[in-house]
Amino acid sequence: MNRPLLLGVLLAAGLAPSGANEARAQPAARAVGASPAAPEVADVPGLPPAAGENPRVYANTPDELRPYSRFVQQPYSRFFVDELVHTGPGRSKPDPVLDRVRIGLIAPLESTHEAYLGQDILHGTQLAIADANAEGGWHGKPFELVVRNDLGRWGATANEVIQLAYDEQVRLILGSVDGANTHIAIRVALKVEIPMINTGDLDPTLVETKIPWVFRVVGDDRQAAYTLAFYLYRQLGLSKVAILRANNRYGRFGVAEFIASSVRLQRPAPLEVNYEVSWEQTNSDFAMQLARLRQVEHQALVLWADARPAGRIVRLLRAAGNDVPVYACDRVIHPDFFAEAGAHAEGVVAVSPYDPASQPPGLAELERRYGERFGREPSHYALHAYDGAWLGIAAIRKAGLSWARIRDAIGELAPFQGVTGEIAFDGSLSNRRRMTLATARGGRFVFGEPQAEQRF
Amino acid sequence: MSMAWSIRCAALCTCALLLPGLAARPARAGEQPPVYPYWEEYHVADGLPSDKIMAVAADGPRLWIGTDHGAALLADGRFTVFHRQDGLAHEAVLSLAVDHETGDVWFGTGGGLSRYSAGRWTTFTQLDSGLPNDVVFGVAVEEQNPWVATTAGTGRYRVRDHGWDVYTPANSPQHEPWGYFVDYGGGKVWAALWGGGLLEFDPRKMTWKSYRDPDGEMEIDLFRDDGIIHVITTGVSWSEGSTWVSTYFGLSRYDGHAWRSYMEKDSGLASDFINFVKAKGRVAWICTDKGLSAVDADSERVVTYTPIHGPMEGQRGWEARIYEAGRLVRRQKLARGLANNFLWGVAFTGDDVWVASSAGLSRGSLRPLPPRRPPEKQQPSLQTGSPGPAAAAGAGTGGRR
Repeated sequence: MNRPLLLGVLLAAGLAPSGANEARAQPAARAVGASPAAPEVADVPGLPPAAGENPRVYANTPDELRPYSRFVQQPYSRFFVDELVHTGPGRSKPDPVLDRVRIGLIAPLESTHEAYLGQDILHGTQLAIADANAEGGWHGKPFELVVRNDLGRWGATANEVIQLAYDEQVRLILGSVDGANTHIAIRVALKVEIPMINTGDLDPTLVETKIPWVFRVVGDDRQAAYTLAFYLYRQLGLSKVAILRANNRYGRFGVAEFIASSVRLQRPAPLEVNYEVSWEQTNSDFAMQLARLRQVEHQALVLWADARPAGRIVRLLRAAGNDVPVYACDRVIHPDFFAEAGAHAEGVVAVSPYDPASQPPGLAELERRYGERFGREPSHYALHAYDGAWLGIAAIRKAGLSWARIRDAIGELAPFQGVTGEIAFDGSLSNRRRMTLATARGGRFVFGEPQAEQRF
Repeated sequence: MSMAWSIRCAALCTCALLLPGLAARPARAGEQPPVYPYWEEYHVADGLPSDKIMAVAADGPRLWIGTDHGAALLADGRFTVFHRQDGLAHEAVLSLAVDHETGDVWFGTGGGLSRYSAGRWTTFTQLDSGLPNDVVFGVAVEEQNPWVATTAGTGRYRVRDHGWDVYTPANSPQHEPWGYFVDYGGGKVWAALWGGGLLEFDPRKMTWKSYRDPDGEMEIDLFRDDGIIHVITTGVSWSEGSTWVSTYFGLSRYDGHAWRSYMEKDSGLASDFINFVKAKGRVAWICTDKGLSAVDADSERVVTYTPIHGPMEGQRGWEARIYEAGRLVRRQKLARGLANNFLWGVAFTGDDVWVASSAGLSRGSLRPLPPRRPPEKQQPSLQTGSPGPAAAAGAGTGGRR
């Protein structure tokens, strides 16, 4: 039974938890000094205002897509609407004496299906470090990148953060891509109290942890899901959508909000078909998935996959005569997608976390230099890595080498103008730049086409 | 038998079934929790290896301390310090547990699990043992067996046969293997999971139970008192029939029948961002990013210790705030406050409470604290006493498994 239906049944049967009425009736009990029983208590400076429902909204979420909004006017509590603050010490620590300023990078670089993204992130970061050193580094001391491969096995990312922080003495850590591994890393970052800037993990749950040490400069799949859901259901008026996704955490969490949004917009929950990440060894013709999709009536296919399998799937779909419109995640905005899909990529629509058509300052110049150095166009993973690294460098230049001061400076520097556009953080310290749709035309993605009336 | 009499019998039977714990509970003297008016601080200058204290654990009158730069034992007013070269697996000690049967001390570190037993160190790592991962966020002792919470699973080392049990989504009800804390109490092992709520394990029956946030959503808590506030749980502690579960979003208590939620806005907690919870009797002590709170399970009276002028302003004075039914009823200025408001752990020696913070160790007392001796830092020769029956022998002799 889905959750809204279950809740409806419970409410109808009078079985809702006893807190249901209490939640609505609860006054602002934290109002210091408001109690007649304690007239001697004065307002305490520094405390937040009296508690009540915070009118701010998390992640640009429209009313219709708020969980349980059709059943419950006000939940007991809303999270991620107040800005996260590090309330601990560390700001007065003197700068350590170092002959170079090390910055850690954790990224999937080899032996993983996400290496194509990790390599882009590495290249973007390298370019930022080189640019910063060309400008004199930090007070004449060079920035040095300390790179760790995100192996993704047995919690290795946790060990990497410990080693980067305590052994390598890095001043901040950039990374990673995989949602699970990045979750593992940020837990350690909190204990160590070292700042992290994420540039390529679009897992919505990453920042839904309230860790004040983690900033994300790229939007996430929650925003992508909202944008696609409104475009498909409201703008195009579709009602039946199928999903084909990677059978891993990336795929599962990537489409979770799209499925929830479908139901909240009163459409049928999309049928989900999965493929194994090891598709090249186990099912390279995607025969099972395509057969399953043939049995399902659907007006559009939402594809949450890495660039190469997405390209293969689109090619096989079209070769089989299936012309269903395909709407895909940001990972297809990558040369590897076109290499695999060929001409069949034409018309595929993707959700993009940046809009080059808006011509952010510095983008064209960086694209040129990136192409000269690495021989290909930068993906948005490379560009956001460049921006994230520069944000960290700017924070070090502003604050010095104390982890706590760097952390504060990252927040203070926003809004930060990057080559991907403006970077501004919401209460969860995630950049909520609105998503853009892009269409594959002639081997490139054309941004802003189609025009989504509502972007999140 | 009349219908009314039957209903009364049924009601009595129901009460008898539901309230055995309350019936057996002795009366409690005074207001609980009391206000701790006396506090003192310990820092590097006093003999600590670092001011960043990440864990504390009591062993009778002695206190074990984990920092980001080694461990320490405080006994008879003197610190004995341990580092990696003494046998500790890693300088960063994230968690501690004392086996009160054997005197062994278990250290969850950033580079493995260490045991200090009879003056000898033994280290377990993911490469030379069944330890799931080298970063050990939590450790607890169940019948001499240490349990560990790691990012690659929740594990148990069976000390008698030297075997390991590792629990992941493959063999227990969790969808990611992200252990964050573990406790043993009431004959059960309690595991707080990052994104997975709470697990209860019965070692005798080898069975699991899972508790999740009923609304299933990350960005809200739908109803008060319907279960765990959030699936990202940071700590758990069982005491006298209550299981206390901390999150970065508030606190929950489960008495085996019903849940109770506590948030800053309606209970008086110092903050919803809770790093650690430990219960003693019917009172849970909550370590937050803005101070310390003690919550009574029965009266719901809360005493919160926090900087008067807000977090990060501790040097301008501290106060105890007393809340009843969520309403602030009294403030009591403290002559001295805690070392810092960002707190990582708590432990008890007698009536005293010890609090780990990011900027020093604090001790709270109900009575005036005696003047301290001048600091005297000890090397790990354990002249202050031994954690085990034959501790002095072989002190500092490290061994890796």
